[in-house]
Amino acid sequence: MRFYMDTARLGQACPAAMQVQCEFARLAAYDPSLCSIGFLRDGVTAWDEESREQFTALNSWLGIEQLKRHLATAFGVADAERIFLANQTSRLVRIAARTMFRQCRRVLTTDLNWPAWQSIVSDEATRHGGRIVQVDIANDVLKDCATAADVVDSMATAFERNSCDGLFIPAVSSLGIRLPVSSLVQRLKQRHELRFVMVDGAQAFCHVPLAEVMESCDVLIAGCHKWLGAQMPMGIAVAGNALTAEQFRFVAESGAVDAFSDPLMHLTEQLRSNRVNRYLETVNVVPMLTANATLAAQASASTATASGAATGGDRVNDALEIRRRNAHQLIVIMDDTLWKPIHVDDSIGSAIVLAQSINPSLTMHEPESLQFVFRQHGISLSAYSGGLLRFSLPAKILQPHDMKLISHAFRSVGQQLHVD
Amino acid sequence: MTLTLRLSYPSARLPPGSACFCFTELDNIARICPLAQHGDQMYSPLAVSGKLSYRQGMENPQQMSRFERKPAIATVVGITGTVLVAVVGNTAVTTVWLGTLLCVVIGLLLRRRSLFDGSSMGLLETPFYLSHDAEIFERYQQMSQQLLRISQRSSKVYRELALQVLDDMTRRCVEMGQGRIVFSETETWRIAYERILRDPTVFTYRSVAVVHNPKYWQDAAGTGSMQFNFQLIDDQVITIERIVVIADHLWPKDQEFPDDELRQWIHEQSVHGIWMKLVRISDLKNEPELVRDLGIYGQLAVGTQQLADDNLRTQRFILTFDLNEIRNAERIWEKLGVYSTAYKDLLDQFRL
Repeated sequence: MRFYMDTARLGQACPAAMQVQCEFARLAAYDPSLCSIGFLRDGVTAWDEESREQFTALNSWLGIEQLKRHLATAFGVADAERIFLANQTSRLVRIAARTMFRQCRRVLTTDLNWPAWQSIVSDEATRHGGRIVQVDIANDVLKDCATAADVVDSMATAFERNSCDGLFIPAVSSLGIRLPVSSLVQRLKQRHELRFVMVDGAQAFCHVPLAEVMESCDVLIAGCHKWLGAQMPMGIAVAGNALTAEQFRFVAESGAVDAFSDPLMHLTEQLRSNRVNRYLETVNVVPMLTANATLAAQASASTATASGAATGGDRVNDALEIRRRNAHQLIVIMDDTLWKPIHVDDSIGSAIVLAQSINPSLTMHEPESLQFVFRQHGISLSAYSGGLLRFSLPAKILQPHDMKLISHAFRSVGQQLHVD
Repeated sequence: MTLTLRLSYPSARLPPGSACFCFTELDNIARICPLAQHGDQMYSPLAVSGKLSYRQGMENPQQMSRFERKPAIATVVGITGTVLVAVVGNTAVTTVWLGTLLCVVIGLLLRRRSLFDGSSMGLLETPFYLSHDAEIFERYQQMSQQLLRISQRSSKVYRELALQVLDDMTRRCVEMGQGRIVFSETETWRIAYERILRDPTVFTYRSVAVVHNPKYWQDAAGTGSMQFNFQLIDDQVITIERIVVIADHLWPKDQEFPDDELRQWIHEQSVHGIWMKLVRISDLKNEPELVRDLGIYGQLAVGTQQLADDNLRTQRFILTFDLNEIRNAERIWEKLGVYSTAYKDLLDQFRL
């Protein structure tokens, strides 16, 4: 694909991740027993020299603790003990929500929350006799150009009016709205008793810097298959502080609820405490290897640049700058097409651009057919009903000739669909 | 005013356990008086003393006269109004008249209900009202029967001792009447505590622990209650919040955290999901009324614990089922909230 801008569901895979995946498939065909507990715990150091030479692409794998350290750096937290891994992100969301509702009675959310996760949190609220209070801000942001300060004001007002004590919001919503998490938390903590902050970081991890968010939140949940580009889905929960990490671990290990029985989470936690149950369910460990390879590749790429030992946050910041520049260019070239960019104030903007069709005939098309036609013209994007398009801008600088091609694609698609 | 009544007793013997009523021969007031039954013998509360202390509002003869006249006036007004409506024969007027009557009746019923107060009830009315509550009425019957038996014994010494015990019982009954259950020198209050926390109407439990001893609530009984708290959280039954008021010798001003043993107790609760806040006793020196060991069980009750000098054993535990007491406790809680710091924030401020 010439221009991949569909990170809403699945990010474009990093070559290192693909290489590791292929290498692991080769290992599985050659000698699956090489994927032992020792290999998972200590990485390739558990192998002999011959095996290491035979599967060189796996040499970046130095064990689960090393992966957690990579992740801790990427999230901007000091302690790898605060990282939790799971095959399914939804399980981490449930554990986080349960941890939250042990302490909170009313949790403030927004209409920007991802529906599937919102439903899990609502379910936990019901189980605990708690309440979810939803504040509608999407319209304010997308139609009235509300700023970060406006969003903070309206959320703080709702928090106070409803006597809330918890918060569950996305750092970046699926529509690309970057909520001011840290300033909101700061504001709420000044005047209220904010007991727990749970952040959806699915669209934020490796898209925007998260160090500030991590300082303000108790738990952030993210995945590896979107902006990180590790291809294989794997859930990550990061606790904002040591106490929450203990609480999270306690709830996860209580084990009485089936929803918590995530094989990868069990395995990683058992390896952490050196008490591996050998009769555990067989776990898909490839997502750990691909995530590790991607993070390792990113780290070595930044050390190779002039900036030297850049942190995870710096790398993401640099990439975000490029993405935002690309976004501005995209907005400019959309001017004389049949799509109008939805302007979002810079204070809450991200590297995601939304565009709405200005021609009624284009709003009639199914999202799938819109995606299909754009794909024919070299652009992969996310489409929603009503002719709404979502572009996740790449971290590679788009050159003038790229912009020409994109502009041409817009015109062609417009003509094609309009004529149809 | 004291009225002496003659009672029309039923001539036939009634079967055991049956409720029996008789009408007094008061000219204007017909009252129903249930009779207590003991074995084959029938008793009326009136028969014990032959006297009836009547309600205070009836003590003044003028008031009584007004009371007697009111039904007649109301009847005359009602009949006149109805005749007028019938003469006019207008549907709208009829509707308004019926509506007014209905409202007056509902208003009177509500007024009567709001004026109802157990303590001001006449002796005769008491069993009548109690008969609506089978469980209490059964105990009332049993107690009345035993009081009769006590009064029949002639020994002077026995009587003095019995009266002493009865006075004690009366004092406890008064406490219960005020919505208080008191447990003294016992840890059995924890059974009531568990029942309350398991009550389906209780969703939050707010507790204030005044700690002078690092082993506070860490003896067998205390540990059992803590485990019970944890179980309730695990079962998603309630949320628990606790403010720990700590003696300064356990948390000196220059120390970031309280005494290690106490801190571990606090930490364990935090990990289990109890929202913990801490405050030094010296920070409350201007508001000493806030230094109280109490628990607010939703909107159901308030428990106040008084510990022995060792700060471990319970000296007295008072459980109060009174809305005003709950409101007072909530005010204490809110004030304490201003002075206290969340344990979690302390951890953020100072690393362990």
